[in-house]
Amino acid sequence: MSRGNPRIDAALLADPAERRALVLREGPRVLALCQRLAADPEDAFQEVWARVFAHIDRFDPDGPASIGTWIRTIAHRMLVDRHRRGAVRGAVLPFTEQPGDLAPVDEVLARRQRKQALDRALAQLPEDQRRVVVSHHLGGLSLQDIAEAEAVPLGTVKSRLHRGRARLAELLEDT
Amino acid sequence: MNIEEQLSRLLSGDLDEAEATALRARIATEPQVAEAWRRMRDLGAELDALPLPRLPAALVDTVVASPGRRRSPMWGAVAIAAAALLVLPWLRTPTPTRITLSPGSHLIDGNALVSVGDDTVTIDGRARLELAEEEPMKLAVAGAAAGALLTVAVYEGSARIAGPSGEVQLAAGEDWQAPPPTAVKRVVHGGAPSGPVVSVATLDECKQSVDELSAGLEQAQMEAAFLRGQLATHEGDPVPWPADVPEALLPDNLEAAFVDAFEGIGAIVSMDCEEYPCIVVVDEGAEPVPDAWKQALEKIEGQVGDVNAMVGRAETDGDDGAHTLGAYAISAATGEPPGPRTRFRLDQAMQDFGHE
Repeated sequence: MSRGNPRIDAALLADPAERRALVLREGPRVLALCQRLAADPEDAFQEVWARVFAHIDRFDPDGPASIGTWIRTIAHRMLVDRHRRGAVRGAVLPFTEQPGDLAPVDEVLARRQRKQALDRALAQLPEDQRRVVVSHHLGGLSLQDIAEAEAVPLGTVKSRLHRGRARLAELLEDT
Repeated sequence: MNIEEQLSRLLSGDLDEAEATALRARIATEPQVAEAWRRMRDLGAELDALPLPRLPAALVDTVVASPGRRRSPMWGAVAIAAAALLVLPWLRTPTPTRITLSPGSHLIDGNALVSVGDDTVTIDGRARLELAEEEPMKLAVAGAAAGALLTVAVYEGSARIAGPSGEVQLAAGEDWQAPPPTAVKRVVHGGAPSGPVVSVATLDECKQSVDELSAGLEQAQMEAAFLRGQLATHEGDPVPWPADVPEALLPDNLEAAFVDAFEGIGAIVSMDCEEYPCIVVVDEGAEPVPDAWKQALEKIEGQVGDVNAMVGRAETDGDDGAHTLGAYAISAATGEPPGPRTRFRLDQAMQDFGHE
């Protein structure tokens, strides 16, 4: 049964306008993952979309995953691959909001500082914990999706999530 | 497993029933655990609410233009070289594009094939075509002669006019005027003309602009929706006064408690009780006694019983120098702990009276 996913047709995606619409709709969340999990976010972002467009015919609109989840799972898997093959060199820099992201809410200094502190804390997490925390909370992936992308048991992913959140709480308490 | 990890598991529903019950009992009885639980819940909400970045337009263009492959600097250079190899022969043998010739003066720069009535004008260089028409609208009607008059002036290169009456070859500097044609068909050109004749290019540019504006609008709508959500998350939902709020926390009683507790420390400058709980702003003057406000809160707690307190501290520049302001939200310990809405109202109160 269809879950109401937008039907993605490989032929449709031959149209640049269709590709652009998909990138604009799903791209911000993908870029958010890349910014926090890759040393070279824009290169990682391009690699994700190259994979998406190369394998779009494998996406099943009637399957259990939405197109967004499918794309972010690809992103997560690609980021795991990069980490495992050592593509991530050096530390991932703490994410800082770009000028274009300034929202009215950021006028509240305390909340802005809090977000920055949260990003700094995220950057201090061990890679495997950060991946799970970011993909789950920011990427919206279920822990089961992450377990499949990481090829590890669900329990391992849960442990990483809880250890990661506990460490974040400790780090934020110190700030 | 430390307490934060247990609380994280409780937050996700990953504790079994017995473990969850035991931990909830600790939250209810141990202030430190309750505080850690509040922080863990806040952390989960904050992680979910982290802002998404804006997509750089150039990055979108790159991934849209290169489906299934990724651009790297080296391959980019190779791609450009390969594209140049493809484009150069194309430029030498241009593919004609059909447009409609309209009355007026048209500058042709490049190779062009212009059909006007039974005549065909072939241009290789730079030439001006002028189509005069007393009633221009009639030109749009196929077969309408209506006194149209074609003039060809060659500036560079050459032009050849071919028709039923023969051929005319024009060189640079020469011009030619045809008798009124019987119909205006079309202009076919393959060069890179400039001037009014580039109506195809103009249409393409318009279409591209429309596409870009549509994409921009879509992006802006998505951002607006996101920001609305972000704002809603930030501001929270208004909290009505609970029916069972302790009497001591009702506005008049709370104000009296504050006046009493902050005597000699500061004066109330604002009290917002439109929602629950009241937000009380106290001006503690230019030289506040360190930690006096904490003692005042303890005094209030002694008067009204166990409470949850959310506190903001701010400084403001008054006529008589910097003042310290304290903003306080006091709610019943038995109810829901202060959430995002209370924090937002505290932020607002501090912004109204000072800066953080």
